[in-house]
Amino acid sequence: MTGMFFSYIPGNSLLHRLDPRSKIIGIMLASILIFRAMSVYEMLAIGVVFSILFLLSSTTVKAVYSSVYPMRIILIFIFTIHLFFTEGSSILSVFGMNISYEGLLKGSTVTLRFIYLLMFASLLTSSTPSSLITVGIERLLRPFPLKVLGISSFDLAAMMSMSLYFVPLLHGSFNDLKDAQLSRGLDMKRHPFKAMYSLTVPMIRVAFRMADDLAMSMESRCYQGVHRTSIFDLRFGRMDFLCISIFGLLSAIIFFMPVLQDF
Amino acid sequence: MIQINDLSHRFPNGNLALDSVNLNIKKGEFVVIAGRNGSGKSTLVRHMNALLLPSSGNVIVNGMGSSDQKDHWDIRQAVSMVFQNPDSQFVGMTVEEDVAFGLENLGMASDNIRESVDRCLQFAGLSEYSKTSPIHLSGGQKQKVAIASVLAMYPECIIFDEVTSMLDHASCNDVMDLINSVHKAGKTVIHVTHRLEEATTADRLIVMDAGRIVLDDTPSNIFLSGKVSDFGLELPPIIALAKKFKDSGILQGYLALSKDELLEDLCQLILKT
Ligand SMILES: Nc1ncnc2c1ncn2[C@@H]1O[C@H](COP(=O)(O)OP(=O)(O)O)[C@@H](O)[C@H]1O
Ligand SMILES: [Mg+2]
Repeated sequence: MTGMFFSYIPGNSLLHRLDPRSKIIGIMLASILIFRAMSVYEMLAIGVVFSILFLLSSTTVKAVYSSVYPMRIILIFIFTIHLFFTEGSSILSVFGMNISYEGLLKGSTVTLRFIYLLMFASLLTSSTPSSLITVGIERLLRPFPLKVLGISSFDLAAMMSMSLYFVPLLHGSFNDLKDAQLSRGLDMKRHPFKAMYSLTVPMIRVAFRMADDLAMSMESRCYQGVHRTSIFDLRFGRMDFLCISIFGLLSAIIFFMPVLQDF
Repeated sequence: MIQINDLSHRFPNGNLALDSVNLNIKKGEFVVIAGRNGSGKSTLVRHMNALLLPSSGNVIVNGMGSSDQKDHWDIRQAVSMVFQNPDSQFVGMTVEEDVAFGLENLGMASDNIRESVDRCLQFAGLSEYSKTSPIHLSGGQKQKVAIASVLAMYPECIIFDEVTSMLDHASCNDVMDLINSVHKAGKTVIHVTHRLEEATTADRLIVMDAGRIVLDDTPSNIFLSGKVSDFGLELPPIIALAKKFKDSGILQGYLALSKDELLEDLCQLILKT
Protein backbone atom coordinates (compact mmCIF):
# COMPACT_ATOMS: atom_id res chain seq x y z
CA MET A 1 0.00 0.00 0.00
CA THR A 2 1.24 3.51 -0.74
CA GLY A 3 1.96 5.54 2.36
CA MET A 4 -0.39 8.44 1.71
CA PHE A 5 -3.40 6.61 0.29
CA PHE A 6 -6.31 7.69 2.51
CA SER A 7 -4.04 7.85 5.53
CA TYR A 8 -4.35 10.01 8.60
CA ILE A 9 -2.23 13.16 8.92
CA PRO A 10 -1.90 14.29 12.55
CA GLY A 11 -2.85 17.91 13.11
CA ASN A 12 -5.01 20.31 15.05
CA SER A 13 -7.15 21.99 12.39
CA LEU A 14 -10.86 22.72 12.79
CA LEU A 15 -11.61 19.56 10.84
CA HIS A 16 -9.33 17.57 13.14
CA ARG A 17 -11.11 18.87 16.20
CA LEU A 18 -14.64 18.11 15.05
CA ASP A 19 -16.46 15.07 16.40
CA PRO A 20 -16.04 12.17 13.92
CA ARG A 21 -19.84 11.86 13.83
CA SER A 22 -20.14 15.39 12.40
CA LYS A 23 -17.65 14.53 9.72
CA ILE A 24 -19.36 11.26 8.82
CA ILE A 25 -22.74 13.03 8.57
CA GLY A 26 -21.04 15.72 6.48
CA ILE A 27 -19.63 13.10 4.10
CA MET A 28 -23.07 11.53 3.76
CA LEU A 29 -24.65 14.89 2.90
CA ALA A 30 -21.86 15.60 0.44
CA SER A 31 -22.33 12.23 -1.28
CA ILE A 32 -26.03 12.91 -1.77
CA LEU A 33 -25.21 16.23 -3.39
CA ILE A 34 -22.47 14.73 -5.52
CA PHE A 35 -24.68 11.99 -6.91
CA ARG A 36 -27.44 14.42 -7.73
CA ALA A 37 -25.22 17.03 -9.34
CA MET A 38 -25.87 17.45 -13.08
CA SER A 39 -25.18 21.04 -14.09
CA VAL A 40 -21.91 22.89 -14.24
CA TYR A 41 -23.18 25.24 -11.52
CA GLU A 42 -23.80 22.40 -9.09
CA MET A 43 -20.39 20.95 -9.84
CA LEU A 44 -18.80 24.33 -9.27
CA ALA A 45 -20.71 24.82 -6.01
CA ILE A 46 -19.50 21.46 -4.71
CA GLY A 47 -15.99 22.42 -5.72
CA VAL A 48 -16.32 25.63 -3.69
CA VAL A 49 -17.59 23.70 -0.66
CA PHE A 50 -14.68 21.31 -0.96
CA SER A 51 -12.21 24.17 -1.17
CA ILE A 52 -13.60 25.76 1.98
CA LEU A 53 -13.33 22.48 3.89
CA PHE A 54 -9.89 21.91 2.46
CA LEU A 55 -8.75 25.29 3.79
CA LEU A 56 -10.25 24.46 7.21
CA SER A 57 -8.23 21.26 7.37
CA SER A 58 -4.46 21.09 7.47
CA THR A 59 -4.61 18.53 4.66
CA THR A 60 -2.11 18.94 1.86
CA VAL A 61 -2.86 18.95 -1.87
CA LYS A 62 -0.49 16.02 -2.08
CA ALA A 63 -2.59 13.95 0.34
CA VAL A 64 -5.77 14.57 -1.65
CA TYR A 65 -3.96 13.90 -4.90
CA SER A 66 -2.50 10.61 -3.66
CA SER A 67 -5.96 9.41 -2.65
CA VAL A 68 -7.33 10.05 -6.15
CA TYR A 69 -4.31 9.15 -8.28
CA PRO A 70 -4.20 5.37 -7.53
CA MET A 71 -7.77 5.17 -8.84
CA ARG A 72 -6.85 6.65 -12.24
CA ILE A 73 -7.31 3.39 -14.17
CA ILE A 74 -10.87 2.99 -12.90
CA LEU A 75 -11.61 6.66 -13.53
CA ILE A 76 -10.30 6.50 -17.10
CA PHE A 77 -12.31 3.32 -17.64
CA ILE A 78 -15.52 4.96 -16.41
CA PHE A 79 -14.89 7.99 -18.59
CA THR A 80 -14.16 5.93 -21.71
CA ILE A 81 -17.20 3.71 -21.31
CA HIS A 82 -19.50 6.73 -21.15
CA LEU A 83 -17.64 8.51 -23.92
CA PHE A 84 -18.13 5.73 -26.45
CA PHE A 85 -21.37 4.15 -25.39
CA THR A 86 -23.70 7.10 -24.96
CA GLU A 87 -26.22 7.69 -27.73
CA GLY A 88 -26.26 11.20 -29.19
CA SER A 89 -25.08 13.52 -31.91
CA SER A 90 -21.66 12.44 -33.10
CA ILE A 91 -18.86 14.98 -32.94
CA LEU A 92 -15.87 12.77 -33.69
CA SER A 93 -15.17 9.28 -34.91
CA VAL A 94 -12.22 7.21 -33.63
CA PHE A 95 -11.49 3.67 -34.90
CA GLY A 96 -14.99 3.47 -36.29
CA MET A 97 -16.53 4.36 -32.94
CA ASN A 98 -18.58 7.46 -32.45
CA ILE A 99 -17.94 9.96 -29.72
CA SER A 100 -21.06 11.97 -29.01
CA TYR A 101 -21.44 15.33 -27.37
CA GLU A 102 -23.74 13.73 -24.81
CA GLY A 103 -21.13 11.03 -24.15
CA LEU A 104 -18.47 13.61 -23.48
CA LEU A 105 -20.75 15.45 -21.09
CA LYS A 106 -21.95 12.34 -19.25
CA GLY A 107 -18.44 10.88 -19.06
CA SER A 108 -17.08 14.06 -17.55
CA THR A 109 -19.96 14.37 -15.08
CA VAL A 110 -19.74 10.79 -13.83
CA THR A 111 -15.94 10.84 -13.60
CA LEU A 112 -15.98 14.16 -11.79
CA ARG A 113 -18.51 12.74 -9.31
CA PHE A 114 -16.15 9.91 -8.47
CA ILE A 115 -13.23 12.26 -8.13
CA TYR A 116 -15.25 14.49 -5.79
CA LEU A 117 -16.23 11.48 -3.71
CA LEU A 118 -12.61 10.42 -3.34
CA MET A 119 -11.60 13.98 -2.47
CA PHE A 120 -14.23 14.32 0.26
CA ALA A 121 -13.33 10.90 1.64
CA SER A 122 -9.68 11.91 1.80
CA LEU A 123 -10.70 14.97 3.85
CA LEU A 124 -12.34 12.64 6.37
CA THR A 125 -9.52 10.11 6.55
CA SER A 126 -6.72 12.67 6.65
CA SER A 127 -8.31 14.51 9.58
CA THR A 128 -9.62 11.49 11.55
CA PRO A 129 -7.71 8.42 12.79
CA SER A 130 -9.38 5.24 11.58
CA SER A 131 -10.13 4.24 15.17
CA LEU A 132 -12.22 7.37 15.65
CA ILE A 133 -14.06 6.78 12.37
CA THR A 134 -14.96 3.33 13.67
CA VAL A 135 -16.17 4.69 17.00
CA GLY A 136 -18.15 7.39 15.17
CA ILE A 137 -19.87 4.88 12.92
CA GLU A 138 -20.65 2.69 15.93
CA ARG A 139 -22.27 5.60 17.79
CA LEU A 140 -24.29 6.67 14.76
CA LEU A 141 -25.55 3.12 14.20
CA ARG A 142 -26.35 2.47 17.86
CA PRO A 143 -29.96 3.76 17.76
CA PHE A 144 -30.80 1.54 14.76
CA PRO A 145 -32.36 -1.85 15.44
CA LEU A 146 -29.52 -3.97 14.05
CA LYS A 147 -30.64 -6.78 16.32
CA VAL A 148 -32.99 -8.02 13.61
CA LEU A 149 -29.85 -8.83 11.63
CA GLY A 150 -28.45 -10.69 14.64
CA ILE A 151 -25.58 -8.26 15.31
CA SER A 152 -25.00 -5.18 17.42
CA SER A 153 -23.39 -1.88 16.47
CA PHE A 154 -20.55 -3.00 18.76
CA ASP A 155 -20.03 -6.15 16.69
CA LEU A 156 -19.91 -4.05 13.54
CA ALA A 157 -17.34 -1.68 15.02
CA ALA A 158 -15.22 -4.59 16.27
CA MET A 159 -15.39 -6.19 12.82
CA MET A 160 -14.31 -2.97 11.14
CA SER A 161 -11.29 -2.46 13.35
CA MET A 162 -10.29 -6.14 13.24
CA SER A 163 -10.42 -6.28 9.46
CA LEU A 164 -8.17 -3.23 9.27
CA TYR A 165 -5.61 -5.21 11.27
CA PHE A 166 -6.32 -8.62 9.75
CA VAL A 167 -6.22 -7.85 6.04
CA PRO A 168 -2.49 -6.99 6.02
CA LEU A 169 -1.84 -9.93 8.33
CA LEU A 170 -3.63 -12.40 6.04
CA HIS A 171 -1.84 -10.87 3.08
CA GLY A 172 1.45 -11.60 4.84
CA SER A 173 0.56 -15.22 5.55
CA PHE A 174 -0.63 -15.66 1.97
CA ASN A 175 2.80 -14.58 0.73
CA ASP A 176 4.50 -16.99 3.16
CA LEU A 177 2.25 -19.78 1.97
CA LYS A 178 2.92 -18.98 -1.68
CA ASP A 179 6.68 -19.05 -1.07
CA ALA A 180 6.38 -22.34 0.76
CA GLN A 181 4.41 -23.94 -2.10
CA LEU A 182 6.68 -22.47 -4.78
CA SER A 183 9.76 -23.82 -3.05
CA ARG A 184 8.13 -27.24 -3.04
CA GLY A 185 7.78 -27.11 -6.80
CA LEU A 186 4.34 -25.61 -7.31
CA ASP A 187 4.08 -24.53 -10.96
CA MET A 188 1.58 -21.71 -11.29
CA LYS A 189 1.93 -21.41 -15.08
CA ARG A 190 1.53 -25.02 -16.08
CA HIS A 191 -1.08 -26.10 -13.55
CA PRO A 192 -3.02 -22.96 -12.65
CA PHE A 193 -5.99 -24.85 -11.22
CA LYS A 194 -3.89 -27.18 -9.11
CA ALA A 195 -1.93 -24.14 -7.93
CA MET A 196 -5.09 -22.33 -6.99
CA TYR A 197 -6.27 -25.34 -5.02
CA SER A 198 -3.00 -25.81 -3.17
CA LEU A 199 -3.03 -22.14 -2.20
CA THR A 200 -6.66 -21.59 -1.26
CA VAL A 201 -7.22 -24.71 0.83
CA PRO A 202 -4.32 -24.11 3.26
CA MET A 203 -5.12 -20.39 3.23
CA ILE A 204 -8.66 -21.06 4.40
CA ARG A 205 -7.23 -23.25 7.12
CA VAL A 206 -4.84 -20.48 8.19
CA ALA A 207 -7.64 -17.91 8.22
CA PHE A 208 -9.89 -20.12 10.35
CA ARG A 209 -7.05 -20.85 12.72
CA MET A 210 -6.41 -17.13 13.13
CA ALA A 211 -10.09 -16.39 13.59
CA ASP A 212 -10.26 -19.10 16.24
CA ASP A 213 -7.25 -17.69 18.12
CA LEU A 214 -8.68 -14.20 17.89
CA ALA A 215 -12.09 -15.29 19.16
CA MET A 216 -10.37 -17.00 22.10
CA SER A 217 -8.40 -13.84 22.88
CA MET A 218 -11.53 -11.67 22.69
CA GLU A 219 -13.53 -14.04 24.83
CA SER A 220 -10.86 -14.27 27.48
CA ARG A 221 -10.95 -10.46 27.64
CA CYS A 222 -14.68 -10.56 28.33
CA TYR A 223 -15.98 -9.48 24.89
CA GLN A 224 -19.72 -10.16 24.76
CA GLY A 225 -20.86 -7.95 21.87
CA VAL A 226 -23.17 -6.07 24.21
CA HIS A 227 -22.82 -2.56 25.53
CA ARG A 228 -19.21 -1.48 25.88
CA THR A 229 -17.45 1.83 26.37
CA SER A 230 -14.52 3.28 24.43
CA ILE A 231 -11.12 4.73 25.25
CA PHE A 232 -12.13 7.59 22.96
CA ASP A 233 -14.51 10.04 24.49
CA LEU A 234 -16.63 11.60 21.76
CA ARG A 235 -17.97 15.05 22.51
CA PHE A 236 -20.52 16.61 20.21
CA GLY A 237 -19.77 20.24 21.08
CA ARG A 238 -21.08 23.66 20.11
CA MET A 239 -18.60 23.80 17.24
CA ASP A 240 -19.99 20.55 15.84
CA PHE A 241 -23.50 21.89 16.06
CA LEU A 242 -22.49 25.08 14.29
CA CYS A 243 -20.53 23.31 11.55
CA ILE A 244 -23.24 20.76 10.85
CA SER A 245 -25.86 23.53 10.67
CA ILE A 246 -23.82 25.61 8.23
CA PHE A 247 -22.95 22.56 6.18
CA GLY A 248 -26.58 21.41 6.18
CA LEU A 249 -27.72 24.85 5.02
CA LEU A 250 -25.15 24.93 2.23
CA SER A 251 -26.16 21.44 1.16
CA ALA A 252 -29.82 22.43 1.10
CA ILE A 253 -29.04 25.42 -1.10
CA ILE A 254 -27.05 23.31 -3.54
CA PHE A 255 -29.69 20.60 -3.38
CA PHE A 256 -32.41 23.01 -4.45
CA MET A 257 -30.27 24.87 -6.97
CA PRO A 258 -31.91 23.18 -9.99
CA VAL A 259 -35.32 24.25 -8.68
CA LEU A 260 -34.17 27.80 -7.95
CA GLN A 261 -32.79 28.16 -11.46
CA ASP A 262 -36.24 27.65 -12.91
CA PHE A 263 -37.44 30.87 -11.35
CA MET B 1 -7.32 -19.57 44.30
CA ILE B 2 -7.73 -22.17 41.54
CA GLN B 3 -8.88 -25.60 42.56
CA ILE B 4 -9.19 -28.47 40.10
CA ASN B 5 -10.81 -31.72 41.15
CA ASP B 6 -10.72 -34.89 39.07
CA LEU B 7 -10.84 -32.92 35.84
CA SER B 8 -11.13 -34.86 32.60
CA HIS B 9 -11.59 -33.40 29.16
CA ARG B 10 -12.65 -35.27 26.06
CA PHE B 11 -12.77 -33.36 22.74
CA PRO B 12 -15.78 -33.98 20.48
CA ASN B 13 -13.60 -36.14 18.20
CA GLY B 14 -12.94 -38.53 21.08
CA ASN B 15 -9.43 -37.33 22.09
CA LEU B 16 -9.00 -37.65 25.83
CA ALA B 17 -6.80 -34.59 26.44
CA LEU B 18 -7.01 -34.53 30.26
CA ASP B 19 -7.33 -37.57 32.45
CA SER B 20 -8.48 -36.96 36.06
CA VAL B 21 -6.24 -34.03 36.92
CA ASN B 22 -6.11 -32.71 40.50
CA LEU B 23 -4.44 -29.40 41.15
CA ASN B 24 -4.55 -26.59 43.65
CA ILE B 25 -2.95 -23.26 42.88
CA LYS B 26 -2.48 -20.78 45.72
CA LYS B 27 -2.71 -17.01 45.48
CA GLY B 28 0.59 -15.36 44.56
CA GLU B 29 2.23 -18.56 43.42
CA PHE B 30 4.50 -18.71 40.34
CA VAL B 31 3.77 -22.04 38.69
CA VAL B 32 5.43 -23.36 35.54
CA ILE B 33 3.66 -26.10 33.59
CA ALA B 34 5.91 -28.06 31.25
CA GLY B 35 5.45 -31.10 29.05
CA ARG B 36 5.89 -32.31 25.51
CA ASN B 37 3.62 -31.15 22.64
CA GLY B 38 0.14 -32.56 22.95
CA SER B 39 0.51 -33.44 26.63
CA GLY B 40 -2.57 -31.36 27.49
CA LYS B 41 -1.06 -28.16 28.85
CA SER B 42 -3.18 -25.77 26.79
CA THR B 43 -6.29 -27.79 27.47
CA LEU B 44 -5.63 -27.67 31.21
CA VAL B 45 -5.04 -23.92 31.39
CA ARG B 46 -8.04 -23.15 29.18
CA HIS B 47 -10.17 -24.74 31.86
CA MET B 48 -8.81 -22.25 34.37
CA ASN B 49 -10.53 -19.30 32.71
CA ALA B 50 -13.62 -21.06 31.43
CA LEU B 51 -12.62 -21.12 27.76
CA LEU B 52 -13.16 -24.87 27.99
CA LEU B 53 -15.59 -26.66 30.27
CA PRO B 54 -14.99 -30.00 32.04
CA SER B 55 -16.26 -33.26 30.57
CA SER B 56 -16.17 -34.49 34.15
CA GLY B 57 -14.82 -33.16 37.44
CA ASN B 58 -14.84 -29.48 38.32
CA VAL B 59 -12.79 -26.29 38.26
CA ILE B 60 -13.29 -23.70 41.01
CA VAL B 61 -11.82 -20.21 40.70
CA ASN B 62 -12.16 -17.96 43.75
CA GLY B 63 -15.10 -20.05 44.88
CA MET B 64 -16.88 -19.85 41.51
CA GLY B 65 -17.41 -23.06 39.56
CA SER B 66 -16.75 -22.87 35.81
CA SER B 67 -19.82 -25.00 35.13
CA ASP B 68 -22.03 -22.04 35.97
CA GLN B 69 -22.35 -19.95 32.79
CA LYS B 70 -23.17 -16.73 34.63
CA ASP B 71 -19.84 -16.75 36.50
CA HIS B 72 -17.74 -17.00 33.31
CA TRP B 73 -17.14 -13.29 32.93
CA ASP B 74 -16.10 -12.96 36.58
CA ILE B 75 -13.75 -15.93 36.22
CA ARG B 76 -12.23 -14.48 33.05
CA GLN B 77 -11.68 -11.18 34.76
CA ALA B 78 -9.95 -12.87 37.70
CA VAL B 79 -7.85 -15.19 35.50
CA SER B 80 -6.54 -13.73 32.23
CA MET B 81 -4.67 -15.49 29.50
CA VAL B 82 -1.94 -14.58 27.00
CA PHE B 83 -1.60 -16.87 23.99
CA GLN B 84 1.18 -18.39 21.93
CA ASN B 85 0.80 -16.66 18.58
CA PRO B 86 1.77 -12.99 18.87
CA ASP B 87 -0.07 -12.11 15.65
CA SER B 88 -3.54 -13.43 16.15
CA GLN B 89 -4.59 -11.90 19.46
CA PHE B 90 -4.94 -8.25 18.52
CA VAL B 91 -8.25 -6.51 18.18
CA GLY B 92 -7.24 -2.86 18.17
CA MET B 93 -5.79 -0.85 15.33
CA THR B 94 -3.21 0.68 17.65
CA VAL B 95 -1.36 -0.60 20.70
CA GLU B 96 -3.34 1.61 23.10
CA GLU B 97 -6.67 0.51 21.64
CA ASP B 98 -5.73 -3.11 22.04
CA VAL B 99 -4.78 -2.56 25.66
CA ALA B 100 -8.08 -0.73 26.15
CA PHE B 101 -10.18 -3.53 24.61
CA GLY B 102 -10.78 -5.51 27.81
CA LEU B 103 -11.61 -2.39 29.83
CA GLU B 104 -14.08 -1.27 27.17
CA ASN B 105 -15.79 -4.63 27.54
CA LEU B 106 -16.04 -4.07 31.28
CA GLY B 107 -17.84 -0.79 30.59
CA MET B 108 -15.28 1.50 32.23
CA ALA B 109 -15.45 5.27 31.58
CA SER B 110 -13.08 6.79 28.97
CA ASP B 111 -10.95 8.75 31.45
CA ASN B 112 -10.35 5.72 33.64
CA ILE B 113 -9.56 3.56 30.62
CA ARG B 114 -7.00 6.10 29.43
CA GLU B 115 -5.37 6.17 32.85
CA SER B 116 -5.11 2.37 33.19
CA VAL B 117 -3.88 1.98 29.63
CA ASP B 118 -1.10 4.49 30.16
CA ARG B 119 -0.10 2.83 33.43
CA CYS B 120 0.03 -0.66 31.90
CA LEU B 121 1.95 0.48 28.83
CA GLN B 122 4.47 2.11 31.12
CA PHE B 123 4.77 -1.05 33.22
CA ALA B 124 5.47 -3.08 30.08
CA GLY B 125 7.90 -0.43 28.77
CA LEU B 126 5.78 0.31 25.71
CA SER B 127 4.71 3.92 26.26
CA GLU B 128 6.42 5.15 23.10
CA TYR B 129 4.44 2.72 20.94
CA SER B 130 0.96 3.64 22.15
CA LYS B 131 -0.19 4.99 18.76
CA THR B 132 1.62 2.38 16.65
CA SER B 133 -0.19 -0.41 14.85
CA PRO B 134 0.72 -3.77 16.43
CA ILE B 135 1.57 -5.04 12.96
CA HIS B 136 4.70 -2.90 12.93
CA LEU B 137 6.08 -4.36 16.18
CA SER B 138 8.52 -7.23 16.67
CA GLY B 139 7.33 -10.58 18.03
CA GLY B 140 8.61 -9.84 21.53
CA GLN B 141 6.98 -6.40 21.57
CA LYS B 142 3.70 -7.93 20.37
CA GLN B 143 3.73 -10.37 23.29
CA LYS B 144 4.45 -7.49 25.67
CA VAL B 145 1.42 -5.65 24.26
CA ALA B 146 -0.66 -8.77 24.81
CA ILE B 147 0.60 -8.91 28.42
CA ALA B 148 -0.18 -5.21 28.95
CA SER B 149 -3.65 -5.87 27.53
CA VAL B 150 -4.47 -8.45 30.15
CA LEU B 151 -2.75 -6.51 32.96
CA ALA B 152 -5.10 -3.63 32.20
CA MET B 153 -8.04 -5.74 33.31
CA TYR B 154 -6.44 -6.05 36.71
CA PRO B 155 -6.63 -9.86 36.98
CA GLU B 156 -5.46 -11.71 40.07
CA CYS B 157 -3.88 -14.42 37.99
CA ILE B 158 -2.34 -14.44 34.52
CA ILE B 159 -1.78 -17.56 32.44
CA PHE B 160 0.96 -17.44 29.80
CA ASP B 161 0.42 -20.26 27.30
CA GLU B 162 3.75 -20.81 25.54
CA VAL B 163 4.10 -17.08 24.95
CA THR B 164 7.84 -17.42 24.33
CA SER B 165 7.79 -20.34 21.92
CA MET B 166 7.65 -18.24 18.75
CA LEU B 167 10.24 -15.67 19.85
CA ASP B 168 13.99 -15.37 19.34
CA HIS B 169 16.33 -15.67 22.31
CA ALA B 170 16.64 -11.97 23.14
CA SER B 171 12.88 -11.29 22.95
CA CYS B 172 12.34 -14.40 25.00
CA ASN B 173 14.47 -12.98 27.82
CA ASP B 174 12.67 -9.65 27.56
CA VAL B 175 9.28 -11.28 27.88
CA MET B 176 10.49 -13.51 30.75
CA ASP B 177 11.70 -10.38 32.59
CA LEU B 178 8.23 -8.89 32.20
CA ILE B 179 6.60 -12.10 33.43
CA ASN B 180 8.87 -12.10 36.47
CA SER B 181 7.99 -8.50 37.26
CA VAL B 182 4.28 -9.32 36.89
CA HIS B 183 4.81 -11.97 39.56
CA LYS B 184 6.74 -9.53 41.76
CA ALA B 185 3.82 -7.11 41.44
CA GLY B 186 1.78 -9.67 43.37
CA LYS B 187 -0.03 -11.61 40.64
CA THR B 188 -0.47 -15.35 40.57
CA VAL B 189 1.45 -16.50 37.49
CA ILE B 190 0.96 -19.72 35.53
CA HIS B 191 3.55 -20.06 32.80
CA VAL B 192 3.30 -22.85 30.24
CA THR B 193 6.54 -23.67 28.42
CA HIS B 194 8.72 -26.49 27.25
CA ARG B 195 11.95 -24.64 27.96
CA LEU B 196 12.92 -25.60 31.50
CA GLU B 197 15.31 -22.67 32.01
CA GLU B 198 12.17 -20.54 32.23
CA ALA B 199 11.17 -22.51 35.33
CA THR B 200 14.19 -21.52 37.42
CA THR B 201 12.53 -18.49 39.00
CA ALA B 202 9.26 -20.34 39.66
CA ASP B 203 7.96 -21.54 43.03
CA ARG B 204 6.66 -24.73 41.58
CA LEU B 205 7.11 -26.87 38.47
CA ILE B 206 4.39 -29.14 37.13
CA VAL B 207 5.22 -31.65 34.40
CA MET B 208 2.42 -33.11 32.31
CA ASP B 209 2.37 -36.14 30.08
CA ALA B 210 -0.50 -37.74 28.17
CA GLY B 211 -3.16 -35.67 29.91
CA ARG B 212 -1.92 -36.33 33.45
CA ILE B 213 0.20 -34.46 35.96
CA VAL B 214 3.29 -36.64 36.39
CA LEU B 215 5.56 -34.39 38.46
CA ASP B 216 4.68 -31.55 40.82
CA ASP B 217 7.41 -30.11 43.06
CA THR B 218 9.89 -27.24 43.34
CA PRO B 219 11.99 -26.82 40.18
CA SER B 220 15.25 -27.85 41.88
CA ASN B 221 13.77 -31.03 43.36
CA ILE B 222 12.44 -32.01 39.95
CA PHE B 223 15.74 -31.20 38.24
CA LEU B 224 17.62 -33.24 40.85
CA SER B 225 15.32 -36.22 40.47
CA GLY B 226 16.50 -36.56 36.87
CA LYS B 227 13.08 -37.65 35.71
CA VAL B 228 12.32 -34.87 33.25
CA SER B 229 13.91 -36.69 30.32
CA ASP B 230 11.30 -39.45 30.69
CA PHE B 231 8.66 -36.92 29.66
CA GLY B 232 10.29 -35.44 26.57
CA LEU B 233 11.93 -32.50 28.34
CA GLU B 234 15.56 -31.53 28.50
CA LEU B 235 17.50 -29.93 31.35
CA PRO B 236 19.16 -26.64 30.37
CA PRO B 237 22.94 -27.26 29.87
CA ILE B 238 23.97 -25.16 32.90
CA ILE B 239 21.63 -27.03 35.22
CA ALA B 240 22.64 -30.39 33.76
CA LEU B 241 26.25 -29.45 34.48
CA ALA B 242 25.47 -28.30 38.03
CA LYS B 243 23.60 -31.56 38.60
CA LYS B 244 26.64 -33.57 37.39
CA PHE B 245 28.85 -31.71 39.86
CA LYS B 246 26.38 -32.37 42.62
CA ASP B 247 25.78 -36.04 41.73
CA SER B 248 29.50 -36.70 41.72
CA GLY B 249 29.87 -35.02 45.11
CA ILE B 250 32.05 -32.14 43.90
CA LEU B 251 29.41 -29.56 44.86
CA GLN B 252 27.16 -29.73 47.88
CA GLY B 253 24.11 -27.84 49.06
CA TYR B 254 21.51 -26.28 46.77
CA LEU B 255 21.47 -27.02 43.07
CA ALA B 256 22.71 -24.03 41.07
CA LEU B 257 19.97 -22.89 38.69
CA SER B 258 21.84 -20.25 36.70
CA LYS B 259 25.22 -19.52 35.22
CA ASP B 260 26.01 -17.00 37.97
CA GLU B 261 25.05 -19.36 40.78
CA LEU B 262 27.15 -22.16 39.33
CA LEU B 263 30.14 -19.85 38.89
CA GLU B 264 29.83 -18.69 42.46
CA ASP B 265 29.67 -22.27 43.76
CA LEU B 266 32.73 -23.19 41.74
CA CYS B 267 34.67 -20.13 42.92
CA GLN B 268 33.92 -20.97 46.52
CA LEU B 269 35.04 -24.54 45.91
CA ILE B 270 38.35 -23.32 44.50
CA LEU B 271 38.87 -20.91 47.41
CA LYS B 272 38.23 -23.70 49.91
CA THR B 273 40.74 -26.13 48.38
N1 LIG C 1 -9.84 -28.78 19.38
C1 LIG C 1 -9.35 -30.01 19.54
N2 LIG C 1 -10.04 -31.09 19.07
C2 LIG C 1 -9.56 -32.33 19.24
N3 LIG C 1 -8.42 -32.63 19.87
C3 LIG C 1 -7.69 -31.63 20.37
C4 LIG C 1 -8.12 -30.27 20.21
N4 LIG C 1 -7.19 -29.46 20.80
C5 LIG C 1 -6.24 -30.28 21.28
N5 LIG C 1 -6.53 -31.60 21.03
C6 LIG C 1 -5.75 -32.76 21.45
O1 LIG C 1 -5.62 -32.75 22.84
C7 LIG C 1 -4.33 -33.13 23.24
C8 LIG C 1 -3.74 -32.05 24.12
O2 LIG C 1 -3.56 -30.86 23.38
P1 LIG C 1 -2.99 -29.53 24.00
O3 LIG C 1 -3.67 -29.26 25.28
O4 LIG C 1 -3.08 -28.48 22.95
O5 LIG C 1 -1.47 -29.90 24.27
P2 LIG C 1 -0.22 -28.95 24.56
O6 LIG C 1 -0.72 -27.58 24.78
O7 LIG C 1 0.41 -29.57 25.76
O8 LIG C 1 0.67 -29.06 23.36
C9 LIG C 1 -3.54 -33.38 21.98
O9 LIG C 1 -3.50 -34.77 21.76
C10 LIG C 1 -4.34 -32.70 20.90
O10 LIG C 1 -4.22 -33.39 19.69
MG1 LIG D 1 -0.32 -25.73 23.76
